[in-house]
Amino acid sequence: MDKPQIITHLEKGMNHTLYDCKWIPRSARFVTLGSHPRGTGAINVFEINQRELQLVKECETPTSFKCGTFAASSLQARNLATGDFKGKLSVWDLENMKSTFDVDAHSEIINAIDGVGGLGIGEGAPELVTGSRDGAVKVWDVRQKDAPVACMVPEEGEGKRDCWSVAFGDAYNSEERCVCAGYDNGDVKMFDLRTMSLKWETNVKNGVCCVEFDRKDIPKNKLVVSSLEGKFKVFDVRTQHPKSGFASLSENAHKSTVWLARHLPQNRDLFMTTGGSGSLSLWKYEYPPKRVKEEDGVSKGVIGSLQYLQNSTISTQPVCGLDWSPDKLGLCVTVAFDQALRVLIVTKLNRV
Amino acid sequence: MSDKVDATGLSEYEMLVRATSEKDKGNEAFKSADFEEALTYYSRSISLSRTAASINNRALAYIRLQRWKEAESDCNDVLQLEPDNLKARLRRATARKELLKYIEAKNDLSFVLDKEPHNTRASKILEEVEQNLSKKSSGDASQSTSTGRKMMIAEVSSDEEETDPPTENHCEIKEQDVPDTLESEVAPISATVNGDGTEIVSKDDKVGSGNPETTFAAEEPHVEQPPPEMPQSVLKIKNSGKELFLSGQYGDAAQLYTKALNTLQACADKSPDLDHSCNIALLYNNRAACHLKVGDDKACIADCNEVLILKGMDTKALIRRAYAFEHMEKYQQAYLDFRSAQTVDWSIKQAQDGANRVASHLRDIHGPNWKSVLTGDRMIVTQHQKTSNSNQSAETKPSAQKQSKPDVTKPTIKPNNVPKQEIKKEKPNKSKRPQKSKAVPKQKATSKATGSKEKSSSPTEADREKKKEEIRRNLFDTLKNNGNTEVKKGNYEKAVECYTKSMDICPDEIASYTNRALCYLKLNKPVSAIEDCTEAIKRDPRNIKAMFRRAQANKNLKKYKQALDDLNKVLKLEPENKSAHAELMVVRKLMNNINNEDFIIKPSSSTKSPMKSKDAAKKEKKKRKIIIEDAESDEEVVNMSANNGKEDKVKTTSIKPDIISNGVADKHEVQSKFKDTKPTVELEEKVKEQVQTTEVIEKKIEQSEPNLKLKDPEEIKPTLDNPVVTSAKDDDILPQEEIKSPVQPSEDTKPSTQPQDPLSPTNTPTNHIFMNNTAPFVSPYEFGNAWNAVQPKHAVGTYKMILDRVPVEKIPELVTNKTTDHMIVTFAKIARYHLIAGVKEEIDRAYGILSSLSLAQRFNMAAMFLSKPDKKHVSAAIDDLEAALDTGSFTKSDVENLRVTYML
Repeated sequence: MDKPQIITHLEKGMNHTLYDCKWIPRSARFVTLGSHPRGTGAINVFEINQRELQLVKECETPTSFKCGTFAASSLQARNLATGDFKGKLSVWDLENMKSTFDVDAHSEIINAIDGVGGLGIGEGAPELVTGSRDGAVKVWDVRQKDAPVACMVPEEGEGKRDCWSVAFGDAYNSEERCVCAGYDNGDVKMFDLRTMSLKWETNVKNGVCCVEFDRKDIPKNKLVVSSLEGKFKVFDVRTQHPKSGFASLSENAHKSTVWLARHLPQNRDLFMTTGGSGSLSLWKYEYPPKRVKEEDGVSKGVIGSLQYLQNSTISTQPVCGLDWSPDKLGLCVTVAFDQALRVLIVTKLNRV
Repeated sequence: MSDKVDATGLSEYEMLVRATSEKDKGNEAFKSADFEEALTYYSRSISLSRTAASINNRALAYIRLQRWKEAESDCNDVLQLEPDNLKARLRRATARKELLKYIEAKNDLSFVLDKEPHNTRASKILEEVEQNLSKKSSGDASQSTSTGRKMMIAEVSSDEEETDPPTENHCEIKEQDVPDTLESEVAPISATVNGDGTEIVSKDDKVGSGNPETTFAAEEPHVEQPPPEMPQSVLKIKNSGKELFLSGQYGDAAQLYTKALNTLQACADKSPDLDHSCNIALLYNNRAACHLKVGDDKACIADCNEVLILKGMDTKALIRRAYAFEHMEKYQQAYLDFRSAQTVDWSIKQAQDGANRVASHLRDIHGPNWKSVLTGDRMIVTQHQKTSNSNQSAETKPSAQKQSKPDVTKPTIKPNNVPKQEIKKEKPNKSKRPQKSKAVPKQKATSKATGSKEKSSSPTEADREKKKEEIRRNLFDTLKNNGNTEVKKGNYEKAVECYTKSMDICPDEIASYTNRALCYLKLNKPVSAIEDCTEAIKRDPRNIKAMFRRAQANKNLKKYKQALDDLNKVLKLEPENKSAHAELMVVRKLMNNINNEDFIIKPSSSTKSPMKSKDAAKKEKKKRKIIIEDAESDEEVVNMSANNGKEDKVKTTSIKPDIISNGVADKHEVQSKFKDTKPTVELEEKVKEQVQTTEVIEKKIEQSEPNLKLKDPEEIKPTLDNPVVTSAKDDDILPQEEIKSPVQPSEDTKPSTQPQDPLSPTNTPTNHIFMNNTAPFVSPYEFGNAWNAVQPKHAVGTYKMILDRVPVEKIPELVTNKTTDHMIVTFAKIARYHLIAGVKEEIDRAYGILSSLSLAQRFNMAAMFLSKPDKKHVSAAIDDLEAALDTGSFTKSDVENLRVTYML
């Protein structure tokens, strides 16, 4: 019984589809984003109150929401940035449920959003990045409304790929910052925002459902790329070899699409993956004795290994949203396509 | 990165939060051995909030980086904040020792030892410091620095890693860890405890308060006479000892236990007809726990020896002794003790962890061949309990020798009591672990282990050796079989564990190495696989299996040359080996491929749009490469299955239904989602995505079942003589038949390597159920399963059998949205089959099939993607329909409409 256990603490069924969920930092509340059957969007704020989930606030908007993040907001404001089905990027003040920032960021649905520079995570200006079906990845500064700070679009003539996932990383000082994007054809691209160049790219063969750095605010260390067909890869992105790129390992999980991979905010070497069959798996990355080896005078990364800590099936449908509480170790909230949200507790994470 | 965090505008709380997160980052970096980086994070944390924990951690990082001065000043800071922080003291002592400030170091150490008299690390450093001091005083200063430094490094790498973790909570864990186990040991003694630690309760109940004699009898009817109750006086002392122990006063507890022991022995002297050995063992065991806690390793070992003599293989005593050995850095003994505890009871996690931990130390010390060092004295140490240690214990307790010398001064146990005692010895082993009953041979082995011990007094040495050999053999077989079953189930990691254990027991058995290599191959750990194969080849230079597996591993590592070498060797030994031939081809192909491939990384270019287009050719190449890789993995499976016999075969066959059901399940799931939620745009898109995925999965299935697929003549050969190729049609023949294929490697002489009988009906449920059944399909799921399970994909006959079970009007319902171009073509082919018959119903059905298929969801999409040859098939079917107009009950315009809907 020394292994961590995954326990479903609270569960609540909803009458609409849920796509994403996020803890409101420094609170016992979280917000869910989704879509009503009639195609309108839903923002709900829940509070955990004496072992019960209480709906604190709800709001219906004209378009369905796909994704959201607090990561570019200050700890005082805690504004939620959302991406919706029509490509609009909005920032919401959850106190009065009014949007403080709206921009038609993309021509099609925003599949993924991520932020950096807020909540005390990552140096430099708070920025958002959005990835959309229109093939573009755009970086936004909420202080500058009309135009994106950076825009990564395929060159003309090249087919547009559906961008499914984006993630910030490498934001360890005010200059450095990079964005990683995963596409439906299995492409993974890493853009350096300081030099505005493509730093690295690879193809993982299957559509990339999720990319995430283990931490955003350190020199980039590890990257997890999860994909269709029950596979995910872990890249050691510390050391880039001029020829072979980053060292990586590939792991099979869930026997179905690996929808998400989410690192524990308190320990970068632990992460949870969620599967298309409603299962969750907890993993631990173990470093090799030496992370770098010299090969013909060039340093090359050495990948470690993964330890499979625990799994649990919580739903019959894909788990499409998972967020670890930034404040309480082991607490997380998930949403699945069975229209239910669940608060989970993962025990013994400090002992792993 | 700067060492400071800009804290302007942050509230106090925010600063604290940031500081904690920076410290976390530091700990993570520390764990991944990036000490410089850890240092930065700790400094950042400290710049935000000066907590003792971060400074203390930074001190440790400095020590690791051998920056002694900074380490010392950090420790000073910590001690200013927390004067009683022993960790900081110890670290400062370490740093000061390196800075040659021996006297100050000594002060620190004596402070630590004052508080924690049994801190082994402190005493060790103190020893070194004193040595250096004396050397220094003798004027040998220069030498002392060098030796001092060297020692320090060794110290850091070996000891500190464990005892001095960077995190504070880690430290707590360490301390919690031990009490957990101890509590369960001590608590039941009072017999009033909440029944955790079930096994112990049952054992100690009877020993302790002695109340449930009845339950005891019920549990163990074999035992003629229950052990005597502990005298009231002893019990009292023991209970107070237990309380002291629980409150953490281990030294006092140990004293009380000693007292209890003395009184008990006095009692035993008075009434010699009562056998108190069990109780004595219990007390010794508890005292050992106290000694272990206190750090008195020698005393702990002595006590454990007593217990082992009194009670035979007592796991707790074994583990305690192992810990003690480990503390004394006698890793070999510790390892063997952990191992023997494991052989008695698998489920003990401490033993497993301990063995692993000690093994890593041993590996560090002796290099990769550390096991050979061990096996050298394995013989001696397995007898440990009786021979080597009885000397040791003889010094401490004369009563320990009663077994070998019945006429010792203390007549605790009279010789005539010995047989009874024997029974008792066996009892804990049997009663303790009911779960063992599932592994019968193992249990036998353990009881035999005790049995052999009992006999130790009478039979000859040779006899004992023989017995031991037999036990080992038994254990080995059980382990290996366990491993094989795990392989069958696909739990390769567990299988690896089993094989590793079996290796420990019989290091000369090649089978474990080759089997483990296979597991590593499956787990995609080619390097370990190669190691194992090399080991196996070392023992048997003509082991084809090992060579073949090494070749595969090398191939996975892209070391094609080595792979080729191995394959050539295999072919030299066995020129007929088909799989080796096939593998050879693959490797050659790959070699050529890699020569053509260029890994040029595109230079990053325009700032506006960094995403550069790849030129078509490159993409083409990439794609091709993927295909080749797939093919390669196919062949690998074929080879394995053809060559390596059952384990692999089971794997391939059992995996197939998994994939299928999974693929279908996914589809199903998506579909239900689709229904439930009134699809929004996005959802639809996802569904499409999913459907495409499932298509891919289907293809994958095709590829992952190489034994069924007629791909190229080379692949067929190995499976040609067996009926599997046709299994899709002749549904009675299960793919496992193939196991008995004549392609078994000839060198395979060890039948025990192979699992017994892999023929289990669960392996191919899909084919079996769906083919034999003639009832109409009820759900799209069933239909989809059956449809997708058909192999090969052009077996129209099989498809027709499935479709025959579907009424025409239900086709759209059952096909749902999974229409594919392949399905359309197959339907067309089936229609033609029907037309051949020339009977009216058949012709009508042919028309019905085609027309109702066009009503299925996604049909238009699928029809759009029909390739030219596909279209030919369809139009041929429709032409036939037209020709059969006279007999059929449809009109010409119907046929024309059909043509339009099929986009011809």
